[in-house]
Amino acid sequence: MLQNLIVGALVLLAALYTLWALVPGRTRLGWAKRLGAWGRAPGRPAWIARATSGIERLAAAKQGGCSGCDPAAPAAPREHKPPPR
Amino acid sequence: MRLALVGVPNCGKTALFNRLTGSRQRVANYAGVTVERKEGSFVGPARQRLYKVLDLPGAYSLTPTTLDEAITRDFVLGRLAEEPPPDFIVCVVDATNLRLNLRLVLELRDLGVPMVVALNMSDLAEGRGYKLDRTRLEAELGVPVVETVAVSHNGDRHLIERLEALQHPGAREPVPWKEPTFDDIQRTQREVRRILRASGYEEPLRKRALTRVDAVVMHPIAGPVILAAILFFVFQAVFSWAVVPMDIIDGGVAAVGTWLQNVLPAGALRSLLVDGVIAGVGSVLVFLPQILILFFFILALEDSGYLPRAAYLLDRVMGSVGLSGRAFIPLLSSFACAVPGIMATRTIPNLRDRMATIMIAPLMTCSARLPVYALIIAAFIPAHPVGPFNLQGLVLFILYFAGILAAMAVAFVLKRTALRAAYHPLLLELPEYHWPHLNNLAIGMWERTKVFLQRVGTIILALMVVLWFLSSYPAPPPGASGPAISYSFAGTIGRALEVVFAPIGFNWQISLALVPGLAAREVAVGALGTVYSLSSDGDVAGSLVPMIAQTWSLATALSLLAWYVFAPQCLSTLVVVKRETNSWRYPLAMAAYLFALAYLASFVTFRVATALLS
Repeated sequence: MLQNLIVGALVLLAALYTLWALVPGRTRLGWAKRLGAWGRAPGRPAWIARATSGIERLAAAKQGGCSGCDPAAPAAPREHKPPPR
Repeated sequence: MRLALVGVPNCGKTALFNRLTGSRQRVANYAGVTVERKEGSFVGPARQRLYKVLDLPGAYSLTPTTLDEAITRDFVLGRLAEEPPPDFIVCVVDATNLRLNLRLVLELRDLGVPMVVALNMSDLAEGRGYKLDRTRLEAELGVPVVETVAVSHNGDRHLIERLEALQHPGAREPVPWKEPTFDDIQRTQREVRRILRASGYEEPLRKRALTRVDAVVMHPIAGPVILAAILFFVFQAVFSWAVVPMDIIDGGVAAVGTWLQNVLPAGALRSLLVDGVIAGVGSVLVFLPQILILFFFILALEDSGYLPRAAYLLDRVMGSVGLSGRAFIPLLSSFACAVPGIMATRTIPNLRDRMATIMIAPLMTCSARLPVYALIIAAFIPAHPVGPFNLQGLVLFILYFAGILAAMAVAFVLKRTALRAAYHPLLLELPEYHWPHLNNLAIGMWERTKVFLQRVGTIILALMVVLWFLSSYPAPPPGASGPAISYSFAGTIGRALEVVFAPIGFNWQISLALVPGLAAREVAVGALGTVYSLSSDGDVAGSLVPMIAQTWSLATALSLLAWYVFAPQCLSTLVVVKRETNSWRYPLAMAAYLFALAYLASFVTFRVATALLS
């Protein structure tokens, strides 16, 4: 029974992820924005707001293409150290 | 503070961008690699000021002839509604070719936007004996000039120091600009020559040995022979060098499968992990070494400066089918992936030429097709020597060549019917040769590995789990004979599709694998792994190669190879074609013609092979 529950959860997660990854980027972003707005509504627990914002950020990131596609730029700014004297 | 990196194509803007921001955007030793704006940032060491850096496509002047040049012009002039104009411009110039670069510098200076000139590749220029009074050039131009070596550690030091000394200029309004007349251009050219004379500029000399190399490499007879030899060598290496690492990965995957088989109790979870995840994902993972070897050669050739020479050699062939010589680089990018290849068509000035190139780009064999080819070749083509070559490598070369030939044939038809346009001669800047930078190669290979593993660990894994579910449920009815998968959802879908694909020799397992293959072509291999694992008597995930070698006929294998030469493209390709053409007409026409060609080629291959082998 426990095995079946775990398998069911894994299959459901995989199906949701496949749908998420294969829908056009604009649709995905639209869904994520609506989810983000819902998560930030007053009265929602902080973890829901954080999780939905995370999903929104993921949706905004460049996705798709094949194994030869350009990697995206890093998000964090690079810090330049002063040259050694 | 927002900085824009502007400069002529192939002057090292993206290399400088990567140096400043720590990004790993793609760089190569030819013009037209960057076709859209890229953004990164860094913090200055002295003032802790945040700089947002924008890497723009290369442009020879502010008068655009291509879409990517128009992006640069509109951005610099502040004409883009959603983008404020940059606070500063860093005009990157190639120190080995100042005469060509200074016209853009003068045009930008006349806009009145605060600017710094970065004399890039100054080490190469010095090595070749160029002379320049930098202080005098600064005085003549009226803007700061600093030396940079974008490919060297700390090669951006002078630029950062100069930027840190600048004050923020405050908000800028869009700049008024009018297109220069012919007289204006001539006046600017005269001014370029005067400034260079005044700055004591002596052009760097070219090594005589490189001129001799060019005489051979670009010779009308020796050149194509060398090109063919290089490509032959690459495809031989893809097979012969990958044997050991592939065996190691294959052994590892099998060991994990056996271990899971032993430690987990029989049931759905064990079947999911062994038959779904390990058999499916493992079948794709095993091709990583071959993909990396192919990319190693692509990256090395990109960095060496040889590829534009190859474009020159092939211009006559491409011109004979009506394609612009400018189509070469986008088509070449499509060997890695059709998505960046289609985006690179922005460098083609003529709209019809561009559309024709977009339509044939998916016929170039992308790296995602390599696992499919490699699987079938390993199962059906013996590794016999053929003269100095290996038969498997030879077949792979023929498959790549067939894709190119098909693309030429389609272009021939398109350019004489729907996309008729006059031939545009190739005008191409040939970069200097240099040895590929080991650092670039290592970073490039690492990035490809990361992207591949990320895809294997995300979309391919997810699709395999879904496919396992569809292949395992519903359970067979009591008293049923035959493998359980025959009674599952996947079995039903596969058999429905088999009606369409049986005339070209595909069984229901292959027909089913084509569906997830639309998400990414290599998923078809994973899908075959899962389906055959669940179809087999034992439930340990075995190697896919012997399984298909026993199950398929040679005619079926050849038919599937023919199918994947044309392979109705992946969804990402269709989406990017829609975006680039701003219309559904082109992606729909592309899907239809590729499907028709694939079906026809497979049908003929299957029928002929069956007749010959019977």
